[in-house]
Amino acid sequence: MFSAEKEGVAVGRIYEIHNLITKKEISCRELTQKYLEAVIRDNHMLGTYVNITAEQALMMADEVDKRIHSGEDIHPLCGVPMTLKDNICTKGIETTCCSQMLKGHKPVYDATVWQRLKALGAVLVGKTNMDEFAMGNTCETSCFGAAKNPHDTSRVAGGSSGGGACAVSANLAVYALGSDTGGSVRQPASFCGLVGLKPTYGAVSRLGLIAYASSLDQIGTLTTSVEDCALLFDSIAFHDPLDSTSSVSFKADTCSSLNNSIKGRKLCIPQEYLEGLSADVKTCFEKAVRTYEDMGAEIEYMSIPQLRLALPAYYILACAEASSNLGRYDGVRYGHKTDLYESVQEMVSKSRSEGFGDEVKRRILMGTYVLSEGYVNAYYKKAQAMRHELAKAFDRVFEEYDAILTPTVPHTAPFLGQALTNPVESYQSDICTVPVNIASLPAVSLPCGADSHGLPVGLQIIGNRFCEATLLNLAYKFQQSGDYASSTDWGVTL
Amino acid sequence: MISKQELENIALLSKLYVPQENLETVCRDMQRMVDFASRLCEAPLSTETETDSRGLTPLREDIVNPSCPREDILLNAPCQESGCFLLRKKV
Repeated sequence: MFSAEKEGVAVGRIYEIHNLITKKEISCRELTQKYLEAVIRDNHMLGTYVNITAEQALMMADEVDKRIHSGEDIHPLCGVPMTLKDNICTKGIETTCCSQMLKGHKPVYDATVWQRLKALGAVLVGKTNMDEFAMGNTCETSCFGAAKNPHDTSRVAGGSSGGGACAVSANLAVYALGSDTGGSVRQPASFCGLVGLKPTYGAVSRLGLIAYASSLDQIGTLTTSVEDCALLFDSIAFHDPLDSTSSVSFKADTCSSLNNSIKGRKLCIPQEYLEGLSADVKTCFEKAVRTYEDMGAEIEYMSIPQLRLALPAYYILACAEASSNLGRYDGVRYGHKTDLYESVQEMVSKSRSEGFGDEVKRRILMGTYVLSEGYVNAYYKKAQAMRHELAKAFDRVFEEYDAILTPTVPHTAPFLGQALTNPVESYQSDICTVPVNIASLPAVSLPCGADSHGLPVGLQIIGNRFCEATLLNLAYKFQQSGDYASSTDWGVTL
Repeated sequence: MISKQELENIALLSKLYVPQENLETVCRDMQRMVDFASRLCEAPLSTETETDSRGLTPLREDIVNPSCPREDILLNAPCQESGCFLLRKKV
């Protein structure tokens, strides 16, 4: 049996839904219809979904109802309405990366994560909004327009997985999968009051995740609780022979240790993460630290000087990889193709210039620049060296400590349009999240309070590679220590 | 400073077309990004390549497996004919 009580694990929102449908208090079709009605009602105000897959969702729901009626013992994720970011390939379902370049693009295969969730009986409500090709941190570079923050619609949901965070926060899906290249799951989770996990690089297959910066990209989860996060992570983390960076030996089991005591756990706080915090974020973070102390964890402040150069290194590496990865969009095999051209060279250049938005073009140009003759040593190779130094520094930290505590973002959700005025300045907001991707580490963001406007503040816990169980244990105990959940008035009420 | 000529060269390499009227704005944006990245240039880092010994990328067996059918691959092509991607003849 997959009943939560029998398994002895914590009960989150996914299990609540699971219990509702297995006890036949509501059919999966009725449940799905409720979500679809709410999505159709609220989506135009929030900009959450860019593609609502109603017909397919109801077909999947009917299939689940059949399995329940036949007495089959279903997985807890079976029948649960969910979403995928618009850069995760879904066979036959439009997947655009929220770019004009890929309008109308229907993948010919499923991403491994979607293949797994589909096999478990997940019900896909739709594809969610994102920054174009995941390049941005406010979801405003999407060709469909921005996703808004359900806590205050004049503010951003965060990015790049802003649509997924908005969907879960606004009760328009139970959980979402996003991707995190420099904080794109954790930052929107922080802005929207959710739990966002960026797994270790190699823990979750990237097959079918449309590439931005392949050495930094990782599929991650957005949920309302740590127990949902653990259940979801354990379900999607496995070896995929079709992704050569997928770990062969890692076995995910985070659910069974969620409730372990954290007494004596050694946590550290690098001072570099505490610079430039807003007053509200500082207050919430300090309170979270005291909570861990009260639970018996040992806290120490220390320094990782390499962190100061993580941001420029990240933007050099990410842009360099993006310029190479996005070279595939030539207007021939897929994607936008210009109508008027004289030569093949002009056809490619015009197709790309018409198809890509400004931020994507900026990053491609920057990537080409740092890889070009004369600059590769000064920029790209220096950034690679920095990456190596930072990874080694983290290795030394984890010889002594179990995890690192930081705020997820130095501030709460900004107003819409603020970041677009100076894109480079907005890169600063990724200061706490990018080091994790550079060093291939796992990290989770979870709510730890609210600012004076009632906007959620996120706490980030960083762990050693493949130590998600430790991370989620620490996160769960914190979640249990107080009422940090923030609700919104949107979406489905059950 | 990044000159307009330099930007045009980078755009050519990137297969992007920057209209003349936008050159100044794009130059300014690029300069901001380069200034941001340049903080790293001052750091005393060796650019000698070091091998990452964490070994997360083992090679798989070299076995030929079925791939996507040709018809599927062509489904998203803007122009196709007789099972091939189609480009207008220019030579």
